[in-house]
Amino acid sequence: MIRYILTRVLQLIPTIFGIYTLAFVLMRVLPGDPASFLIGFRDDDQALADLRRAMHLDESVLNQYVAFLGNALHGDLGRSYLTRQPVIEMIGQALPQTLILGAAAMLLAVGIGVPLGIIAALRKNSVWDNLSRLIALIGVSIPVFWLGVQMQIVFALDLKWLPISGLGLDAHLIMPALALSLATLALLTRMTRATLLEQISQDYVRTAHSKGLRERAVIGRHALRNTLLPLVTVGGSSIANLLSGALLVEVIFNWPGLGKLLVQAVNTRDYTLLQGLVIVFALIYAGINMLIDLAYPLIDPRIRLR
Amino acid sequence: MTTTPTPLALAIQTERESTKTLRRLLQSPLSVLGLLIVGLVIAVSIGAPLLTPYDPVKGNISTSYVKAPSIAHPFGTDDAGRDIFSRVIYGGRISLRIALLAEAFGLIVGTVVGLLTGYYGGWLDSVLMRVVDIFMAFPLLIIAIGLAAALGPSEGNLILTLGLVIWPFVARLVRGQVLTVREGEYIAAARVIGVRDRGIIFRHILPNILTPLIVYGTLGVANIILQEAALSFLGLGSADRSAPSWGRMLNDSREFLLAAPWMAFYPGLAIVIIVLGLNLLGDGLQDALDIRAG
Repeated sequence: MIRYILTRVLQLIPTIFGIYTLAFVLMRVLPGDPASFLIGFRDDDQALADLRRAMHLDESVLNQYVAFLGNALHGDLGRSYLTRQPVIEMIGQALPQTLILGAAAMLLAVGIGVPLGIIAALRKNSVWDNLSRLIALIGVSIPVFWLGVQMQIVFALDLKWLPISGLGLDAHLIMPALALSLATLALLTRMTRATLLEQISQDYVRTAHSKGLRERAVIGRHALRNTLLPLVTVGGSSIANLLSGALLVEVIFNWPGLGKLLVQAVNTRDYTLLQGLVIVFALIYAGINMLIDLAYPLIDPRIRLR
Repeated sequence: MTTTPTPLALAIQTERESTKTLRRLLQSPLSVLGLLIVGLVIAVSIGAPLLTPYDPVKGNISTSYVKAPSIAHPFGTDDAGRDIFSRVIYGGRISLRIALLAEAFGLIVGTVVGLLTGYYGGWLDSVLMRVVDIFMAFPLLIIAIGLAAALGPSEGNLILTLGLVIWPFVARLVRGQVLTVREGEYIAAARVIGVRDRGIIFRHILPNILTPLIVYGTLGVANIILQEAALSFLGLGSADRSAPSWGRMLNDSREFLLAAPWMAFYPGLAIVIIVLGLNLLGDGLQDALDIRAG
């Protein structure tokens, strides 16, 4: 067990290394150099050369890479080209908002999607089943940013029920969280239904039934436990979608999280900030994937033996 | 039956197999709906000049500035007085063109990498699969934003970005398929009679892994349309103002939510329809071909 955890944690190291490297390469591909962008249209060669030196852009790519890697591993992601604020600080300020939004959306998706999927599987071809299929179908086909905008038009501009945008742990959170949750909700509904249907037809469920266990015990204690593993896998992989979706939702609802910061970095061509954000997003993603892997043996004792 | 099947017999057999698949596909009403939607959208996009009453780029700002939907303009007009119905139909051309080219690019690169790594293994496999791992360590949209920002806004770069983002998924899928297929006896037989690697890869392995690729490709186009729309929505799409994709139109509409909500509604609806159609078709194909794509 400890070996399993250790192996999985160690596997994170090459991934982190890869993330840093790709982020560095990505920023190296950029046409034009950041210094000339910062200096703008002023035709001042001396100032440009000074700035390039200050930003270490005059050193060899290899030296820059080594310096970048060294700093990044200490958590120093450089300073914003624009505000001169340390990137890690800017990210630290935006991160909680994204986590709140993501957690709220995940809660909605699990809280609605899983029960809906269970009902759909138990009452196959009922109204609930058809509803769940409709939600699953629409949920994966609606772009989250369009959904968000339509919600704004209906619930904020027409009905005036909810605030159109902005940060707040009250009514402000409702629309962004709902919009963000839909795709994951759809996926979880579909997966819960499919896996539970598969489990219900298994021999052990028939055995449980025939030894006289009540329906609730058969489903709750036997079948559902076996649907948990695929659900955690899907739930985990949908966190990537949730992260990407959060980015778009934050822009629409003016929610000051990582996504809003990312778009700001793109628009102002703040490449250090952009690089830092790409790294942080990937690290969060890698970290979550690792936690999911670590959760497997807790959910399914059979994995512990392997 | 100990006779070896002649090429003709094999051809008839595969013919029957594909007819069977088609019949299974057409048995599901949802798949038929998907097929109809996709066919209709493609037909409308191709026939755009015949179907659009107005020029999608030139508008009349003096007489038709942000007009609500009417008989003359069924989807309304935008802030430059352009007919949104015409723009949505032309937008289909742009969105589909970008999505199909990006998907083709990703499929080709991914398939070649998957075939080579799966067939040869060794150091090539190790190196390329680590690259795949690194790409897959990023949420898709994040790396697309990074790439699009790095490459700069143009349609070509957008296609390149989207293709670069999806090839690792294709490569992994193909590699997995190759690993199972290459153990087949007919591969060993082909090798014994002296077929060269290139022949084995392209004439024996590739045809056998096409099925999952077709399903992946269909669902992949839906995904790419969504990703393209997201990038364009964020202002990272094509900079060509005369060729608006649906995502681009959505981005343009954001300042006019209050004044002209129809500007945001119809391009988005178009995206929902084609993505829904592709998803239905992809799911239907998956069932009809009886496979689980990765």
